[in-house]
Amino acid sequence: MISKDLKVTNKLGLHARAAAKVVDIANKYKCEINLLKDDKKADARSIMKILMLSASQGTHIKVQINGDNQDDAMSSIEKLFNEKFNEEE
Amino acid sequence: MKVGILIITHSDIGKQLLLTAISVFGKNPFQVELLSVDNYDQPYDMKQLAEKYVNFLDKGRGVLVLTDVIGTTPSNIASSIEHKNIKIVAGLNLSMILNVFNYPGETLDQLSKKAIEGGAEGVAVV
Repeated sequence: MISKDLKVTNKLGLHARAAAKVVDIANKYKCEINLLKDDKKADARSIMKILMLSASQGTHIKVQINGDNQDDAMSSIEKLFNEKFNEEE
Repeated sequence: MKVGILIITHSDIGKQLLLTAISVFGKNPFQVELLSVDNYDQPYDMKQLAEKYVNFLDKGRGVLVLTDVIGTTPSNIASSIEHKNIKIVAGLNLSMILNVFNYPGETLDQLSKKAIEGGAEGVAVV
């Protein structure tokens, strides 16, 4: 298992469209991908579980990945966070 | 082939929720039809129309019917649909549709469970 702390830096936070993009990436991999915030854990394949994290701008999210191609999956998720979910601000 | 979806609501609530869900995902992963019910509509006419939509939408995997408040006319129209392979879920909200859109490959049974789960998860003290 690998894990990395990522910061939500875009203005709208991990909102609906951003969460849908996380789901889209997670569905491309077979590995287990979870997002953790405080004591909450969200399956990255579930938009509602991600939204229930209520992660606004500035939130730190721990990404935990376990399974096939876990490094590639982490790179893809990290890129999405770093690129502010490809949103114009 | 996927499950079909019929949304039956008061006025254009369903249309607005559907458009928002499409905007969130950037696509519509299902074949969806909308039935808006207004005060002047006759329930029997609406039932006939709903059945036409359901027959059109059922490509072999059934149809999920989503409606707003249980016991109201849209929900009662949904309940009156005569079709062998439908599931009806009331309590429609945006989180319900988002959760359904999240799982386009699921069976009708699973999708109805996802609808209920998503709808309930969206109701919380924030």
